[in-house]
Amino acid sequence: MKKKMAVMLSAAMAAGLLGGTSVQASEGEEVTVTIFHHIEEQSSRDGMEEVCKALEEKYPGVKYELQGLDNSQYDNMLKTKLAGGDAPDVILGTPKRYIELINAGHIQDITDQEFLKDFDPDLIESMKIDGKVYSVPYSGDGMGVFYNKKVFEDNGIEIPKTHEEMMAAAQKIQDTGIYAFARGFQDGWPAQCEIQADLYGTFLEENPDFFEKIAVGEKKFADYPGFKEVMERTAERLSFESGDEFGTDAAKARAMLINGKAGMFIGGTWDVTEFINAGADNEIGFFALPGNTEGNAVLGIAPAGCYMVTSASEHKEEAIHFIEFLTSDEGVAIMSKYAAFVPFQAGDDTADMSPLIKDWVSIIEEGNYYNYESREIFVGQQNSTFRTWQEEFAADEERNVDEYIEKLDEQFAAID
Amino acid sequence: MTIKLKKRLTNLAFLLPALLLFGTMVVLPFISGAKISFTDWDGFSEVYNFVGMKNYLKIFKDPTIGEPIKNSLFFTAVTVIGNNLFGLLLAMALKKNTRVNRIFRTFVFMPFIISLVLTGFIWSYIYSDVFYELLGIKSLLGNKKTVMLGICIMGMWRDIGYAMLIYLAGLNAISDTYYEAAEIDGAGPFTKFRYVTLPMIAPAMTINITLFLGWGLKVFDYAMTVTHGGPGRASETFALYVYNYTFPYNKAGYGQAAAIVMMAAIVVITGIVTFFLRRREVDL
Repeated sequence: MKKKMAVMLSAAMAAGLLGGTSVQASEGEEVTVTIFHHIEEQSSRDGMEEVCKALEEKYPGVKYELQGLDNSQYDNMLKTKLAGGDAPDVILGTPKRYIELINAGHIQDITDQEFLKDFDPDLIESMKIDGKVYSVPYSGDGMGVFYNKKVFEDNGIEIPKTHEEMMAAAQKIQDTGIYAFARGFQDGWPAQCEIQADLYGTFLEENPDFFEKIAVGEKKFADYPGFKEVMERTAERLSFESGDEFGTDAAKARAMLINGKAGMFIGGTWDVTEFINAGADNEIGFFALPGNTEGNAVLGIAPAGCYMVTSASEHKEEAIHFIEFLTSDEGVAIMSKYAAFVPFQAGDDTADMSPLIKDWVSIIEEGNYYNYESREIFVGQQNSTFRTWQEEFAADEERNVDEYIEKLDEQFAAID
Repeated sequence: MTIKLKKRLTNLAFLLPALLLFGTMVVLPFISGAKISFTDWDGFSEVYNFVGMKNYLKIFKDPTIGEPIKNSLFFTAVTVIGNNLFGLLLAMALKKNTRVNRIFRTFVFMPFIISLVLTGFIWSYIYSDVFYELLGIKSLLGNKKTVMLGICIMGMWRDIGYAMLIYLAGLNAISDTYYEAAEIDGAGPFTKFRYVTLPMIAPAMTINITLFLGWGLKVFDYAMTVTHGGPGRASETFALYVYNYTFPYNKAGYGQAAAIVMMAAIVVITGIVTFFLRRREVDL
């Protein structure tokens, strides 16, 4: 009797393990479109859920399923899924960043779609690889300087338009006893913003084929005097103390800015939602990092919120409907209800916008921006090496610019 | 069915699940990885080419491989010595079975229960919040020169309890008669330690040293989750080097070749060390 019980219990346990597997809905004509993304903000995810619901109403019989992952695992999981034959229908990514996947034939081009006509032709050009369009964005990603309006007012500081003005402002702020810059480098990658906020503006506008030429070995980093200037400006900015930079995370750094413990903070569009959620979007303003001496800072901004269809997808038409809807006025309206984002192009309706976003939009409206993904960018090992080098530069107190640029060229030469 | 056959089959039936798991989770990926190491596969393309020994030759010519090897060896040396030294000292101090000792032993062992990733998270906050606020020391993880030391401290905090446990078992196995005999011969505490304790705990030492040697050479979790190899590449261990090439750099073929070289190196090193340690063991 006991033995029988034991056998039955073990069988029940084993059966219980199988309960975790999902049963495929093979009845009916219901089609499921899987959307693979790495959006981390809960509010944006909620927006996406509503977009999917609206889509399901528009196209009955089609289910849109969101699969979210965190940022650091996204690329690896995506490659594993594609290699393993478990490709999702739609993936989050810009064509330039995933050019290797496109060249390997994993992405479906959407060049002949009707809805592309509603977009700015220059924008469409930047979404092309080898003449074929792969995606369209609904928002923009960029980096620049957030500042505490009160700190600036109290010290009579105007928004700096040149690098010299910015250094003078930083010195003035530091002299009052608070940090000129708040920095949260604990996760490593925020340190890259210090360089990229400068590099992606005026410099890239003047040297648009910078990444392309270096990637194929035609030019070296040392061949660009402008690059040396970017690094020298960065070194000067970094020379202002800000406590334990690598021991502070981004959230703490933002809090330092909000609480007036620092005057400025170099961050990106992802910080905008956090400032708004903290209720600080009236106290915090934004300006583009001055990367030249002319007095008009250029904001580097790249298409974001781009989704692409995989060639392995069995429901390509339905997948393309998702992209079409998300980037349409209706889709954008839904997304902006949930999470603030910076639109990639200046639209008409700025009435309800948060003042912090208005700061970004006014720069775009004035045309002082440059799409830093309009040409090829680094991918793979070159991308990782360049980014790691940036973090190392930020971490090194001594930072000899010439030595670092030489080291970077050596590291690139070693990659084959 | 003879009894012997029945016994054999029963044994096999018990082994089978574990064998299947081992086969699918370890052997199959290993074989497939070995095959990939001879190609130039990037990790996601449908096509790839056979390149023979090119990946293996490249490993020996790569200038950037020195740092990861150095980091792994540094971590291994510090943790093997540290864990064993402190584990043994703690075991000797807490040997008596008093209530206070038992409580201390629990506290020392508790960190071992948490996962490596969680250890990393806890310590990154200790370094950033506690160290700077209380002691004014900037986070050890933010500086190229101290980041590996910071990771070693994390590892030791977690593993010393385990070493202590093994040594406790070893110490308790030494019969008191040896100590009594030594005392009669006029041995002081240091002499007793050197001539009675040390030789008798040799098996425990073999276990601990080989284990930490293996764990140290394979260290990945701390570097990956806490510092991502940073700042720059200062805390990139060899396992992280393999990971970087296999995934973000899109060079899976090369990464697999590096993984196989790493495995061979670990087998050789631990094999040699175990051989010498085994010779020391006293047959009781």
